[in-house]
Amino acid sequence: MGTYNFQVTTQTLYVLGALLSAKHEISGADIARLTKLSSGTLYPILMRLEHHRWIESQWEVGDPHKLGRPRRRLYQITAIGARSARKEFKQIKTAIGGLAWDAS
Amino acid sequence: MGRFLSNLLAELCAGEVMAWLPWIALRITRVAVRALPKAHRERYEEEWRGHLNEVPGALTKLGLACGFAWAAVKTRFDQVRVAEITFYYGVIVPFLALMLPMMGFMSAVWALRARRGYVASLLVDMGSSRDLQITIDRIPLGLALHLALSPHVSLESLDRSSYHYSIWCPSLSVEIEEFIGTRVLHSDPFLRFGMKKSPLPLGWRNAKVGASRHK
Repeated sequence: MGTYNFQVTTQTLYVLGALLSAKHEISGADIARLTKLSSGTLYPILMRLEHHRWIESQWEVGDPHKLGRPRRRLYQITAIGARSARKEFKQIKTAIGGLAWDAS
Repeated sequence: MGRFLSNLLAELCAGEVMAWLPWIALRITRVAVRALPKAHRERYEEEWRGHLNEVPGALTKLGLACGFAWAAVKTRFDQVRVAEITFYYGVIVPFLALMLPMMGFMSAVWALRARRGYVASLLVDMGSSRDLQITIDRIPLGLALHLALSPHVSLESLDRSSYHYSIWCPSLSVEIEEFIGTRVLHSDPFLRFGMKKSPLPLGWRNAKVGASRHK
């Protein structure tokens, strides 16, 4: 895996994959549902990715009083994040391809 | 009857506990939010409450809240680690990089100076056929180095009271002055430095000699 200021773990890749595959902005609850990660794992990853500008987030449009519930924070992947994530996936694919080649 | 009552009581207790669980989950979330760095608290309070709201089931909410607490603890640790790393690479490493060589050099100089056991012969060039030789023990390192680098040192420079070798070894200039004062000089004398004996510390040298004698 590439060298960044933070460690790109398998869980981080799950999160990036979920964000890449989403057609629109998704909330933390949606990401948790898609990746099946616990909140204790998911939120530190989201914080780290946001800190390094791989993802960005914004509040759901609407007044919480009118919505009748707390607003959701919606996440989407940035151009840098998408590029880096694709690079990571490509490296993994290459590594797995190499392993498959070795096995045969 | 007793069984019915106990079942009823258990049912009531379970209902009560299940009713309290969302409240407990919310309390845990608040505690977790408070554990976060100040800049993140407001945002994550709303975000996590929103996430709790989206999850069905009291027990799931409790589990989710515990996850938030764990996330807060991890974030806190990450922050501490970042602060530690920043402090380490920003302050400690440059400080050590600067100070260690300086400290090493200073301690080496101090150790060499503390020996004060350098033996050297100073040849006083009288400008005549008869040069005079003074053998001085316990020359300070600075003077030994200086004399080695500049072979002709004017005695006037050693006579000056502000001269730093006089501060290091005040008796030296007095000693030379007294020695020269007893002689009639025809020209300005110069000091020539010639190390006849080993520049090693006297104590070490004597110890070695002593040891060989014992054999």
